Amino acid sequence: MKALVLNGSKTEKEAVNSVSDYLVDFLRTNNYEVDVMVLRDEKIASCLGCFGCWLNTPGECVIKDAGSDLPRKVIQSDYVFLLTSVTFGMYSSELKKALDRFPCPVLLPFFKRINGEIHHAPRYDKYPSLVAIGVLPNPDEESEQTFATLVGRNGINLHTNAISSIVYSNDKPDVIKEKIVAAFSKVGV
Amino acid sequence: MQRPIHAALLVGSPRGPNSTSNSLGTYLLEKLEQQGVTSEKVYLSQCLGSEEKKDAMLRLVDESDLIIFAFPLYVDSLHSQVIKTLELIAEYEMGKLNLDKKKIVAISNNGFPEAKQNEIALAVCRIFAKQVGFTWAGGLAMGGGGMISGRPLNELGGMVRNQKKALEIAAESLMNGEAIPTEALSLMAKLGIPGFLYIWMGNRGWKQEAKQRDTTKEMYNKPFKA
Repeated sequence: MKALVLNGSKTEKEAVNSVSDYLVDFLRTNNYEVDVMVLRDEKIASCLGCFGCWLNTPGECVIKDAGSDLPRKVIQSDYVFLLTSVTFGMYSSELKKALDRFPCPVLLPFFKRINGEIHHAPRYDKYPSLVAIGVLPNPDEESEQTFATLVGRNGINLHTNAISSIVYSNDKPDVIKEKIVAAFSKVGV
Repeated sequence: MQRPIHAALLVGSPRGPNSTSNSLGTYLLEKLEQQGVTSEKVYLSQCLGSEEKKDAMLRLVDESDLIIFAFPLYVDSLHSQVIKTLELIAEYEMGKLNLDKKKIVAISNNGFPEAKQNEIALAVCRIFAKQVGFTWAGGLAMGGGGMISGRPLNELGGMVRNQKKALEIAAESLMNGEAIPTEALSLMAKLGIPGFLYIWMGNRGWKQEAKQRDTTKEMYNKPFKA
């Protein structure tokens, strides 16, 4: 089984990096093939909104940088982990820059009705499960609720199951590890 | 809330001047200008690449008492350039005095027919305003952004009558020192054509565009094996 870990920390000091270390250790211990991208170290341009991945080179991004390989990495993974500081209830800009680059290439431009709402139709038969782990300094109900809703909506748009979990910066290592295992078990492992 | 004096429009679409976000934000700005508000507009896609332009954008926010974000929905939330801007503004403004005198308005549009899909993006802007200490004056959500496709609202006739009216009501309320009322939020969300027609036109439009590029046969390509 393959796992892609997208580390959206903005600095080396963020607690997101510890979460990434514990997660990768857990995955490797359980014999997963793990690809970790520390996004702040990668050259990834912002999505241009050009629709080139639908119209010019269908299924592939027209920008050539580390972000253009994301659609392949996502499609060839069984799990995609999104690690981020919760920023006003959503992902950090570092994580979002990567996230903006892969949904359009792996989906079709055409509309499809899902549970009464319109979304983009799938391009592939199967998509990886999403697990998003957000880090907050302290409990914050509004941010946590918005983050959970966002991750759930990403799951609907990417035609997959999606789970979110919140870690607090002062959580002890054992608590963080328990939350990782709990989130992972919810997506069917 | 006080009547605004100087408004900043921050257009958060990577398409910049050619975007639906620009069309919607500019219409609101024009209505405010007609009532005496001075204004400036910046395109975030052009600001973030240069330190000089980034600093100018932060100064503009600092000097304005009404800040309008207009952006497209991107993967259920904000484009990375918009969240980057919120991060920068928070860092620049946090802790300053009288931040509650600055009012935040957000206009979110998406390509799906349902305006409610913008809810998370607007919630993020509301949380941003609250955490920094600004005053949240309201978030307008529009579905069916493909109807506008970056054209000025005044060129589009009855198809965008609801959105024009919504923005006019929003401008009037802001000038009265009030938050954007429910009536404007409801009108903004109301599609000007039947939903089934919008979906049909959208699907047909993609096929026509692919035909022009001679990529019709490749549209369903699966370049990567699972």
